[in-house]
Amino acid sequence: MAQTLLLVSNRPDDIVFARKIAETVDLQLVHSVDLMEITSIIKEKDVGAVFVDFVNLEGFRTFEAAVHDQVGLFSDRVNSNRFHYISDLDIEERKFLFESPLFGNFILRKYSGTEKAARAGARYAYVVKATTMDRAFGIRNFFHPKSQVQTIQMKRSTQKQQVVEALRAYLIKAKYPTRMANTIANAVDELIMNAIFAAPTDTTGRRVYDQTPRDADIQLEGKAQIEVSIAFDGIQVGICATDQYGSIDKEKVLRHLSTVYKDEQYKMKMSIAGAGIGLATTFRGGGSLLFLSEKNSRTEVCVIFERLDNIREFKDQFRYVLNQFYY
Amino acid sequence: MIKVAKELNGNILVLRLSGSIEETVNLEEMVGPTPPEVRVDCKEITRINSVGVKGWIKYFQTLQTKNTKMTFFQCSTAIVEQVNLISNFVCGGTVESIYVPFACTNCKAELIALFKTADLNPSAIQLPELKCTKCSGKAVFDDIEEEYFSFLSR
Repeated sequence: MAQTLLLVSNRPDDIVFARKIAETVDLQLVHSVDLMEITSIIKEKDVGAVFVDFVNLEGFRTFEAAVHDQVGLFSDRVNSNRFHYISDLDIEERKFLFESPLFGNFILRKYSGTEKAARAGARYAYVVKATTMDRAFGIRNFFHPKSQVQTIQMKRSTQKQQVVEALRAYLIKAKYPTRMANTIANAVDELIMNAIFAAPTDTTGRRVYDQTPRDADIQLEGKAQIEVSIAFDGIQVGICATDQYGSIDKEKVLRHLSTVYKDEQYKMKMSIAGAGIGLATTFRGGGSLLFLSEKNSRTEVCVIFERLDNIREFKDQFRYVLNQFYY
Repeated sequence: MIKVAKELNGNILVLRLSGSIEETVNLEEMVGPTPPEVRVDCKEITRINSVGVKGWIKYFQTLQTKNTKMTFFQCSTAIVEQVNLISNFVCGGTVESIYVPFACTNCKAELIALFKTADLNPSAIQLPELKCTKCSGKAVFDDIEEEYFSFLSR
């Protein structure tokens, strides 16, 4: 029997979006805004994905309280990896979500009208399909099965620039305009740098390279090996950096993502060699971010960008932050 | 990797930066001692990563503490994006001119045009239509206006 896609929204564009996903992934769409009905579905059905639209903190708290009372926030019926929150406002306006054990994935609703909603649904269907798996690792899971995927094993940290420049050249060859190619190259630069310098931890969980200059030459072998994979289906490109530590901190990532540096002074922590602004810049620049991590085993951080005709549309594209954490 | 060309005109040092600014950047070492006024030509800066941003701010904050007069001119789109994203990116300096991106509505070619910030009214940005240099088609501004020019309102 097909799993359920539960949509908690009355918006016509959300219905089109969810319907497209349900059709593509073969889920049974159930649409409701009645809290009793919603909680009983979560309790009784095999729910593959829950999409929640809310307009404000109060709305979210009411939803959260209903799940708490009727199902239990820490019940095995509730898997935050399968909760997707749809918002018109950017992630920095939705910081209250991060405190909730129900928070999983964030969708920035950049679709208005049925055509755009269906198109966004077609893109997000791959994401939902991947999240219904036991483990969603592998960029291939987020793309059409016939997409091209290439993988690069990095041997030394100093190869990063070479990899980034090769990718940039590849994108330009794939007809991405130069500015889009530069934005994507920058995002990948950040992913690789984080995988090399932020992921490694010692047995006590301490970040080994916190204070190491980012131009240091580090051998990437054994546990330190980094894999970079690239997928392209003619519409969107995805790039993942994979490390073998599984040390990413969900709260820290969300904090970085939701910091707005245009409104406050960017204060550098001189004791830390990294800068902490790379991911936020990527999301604001139009990129979707995917964080997949199995504790002490593996972390995959990916970016996905759709190729669009111009920068205006590129920066304003439908996007999301996916958090898949396995314990 | 970043390259720095220096030109000293009396008490004014002109720095022409080109390439990408990343973790290898050490402007202090590359530039050396500076006079009371520094003008930074940013035309050829193609991209800047987060560690490059950190190195950039660290360097220009040092000049700021020395009361160096700083002017950033011919700012590339990569630099304008950073100026918009990070409130203290120019460390008290002045942005004199910026490149504005355009796209041809016919052949999709990417074009840029230089504007003096003094000529741009933040409350009512008015940009001319350009003629594409490749196909003579109509080229229009290609970015999000409220984002690209937001630094002008600070």
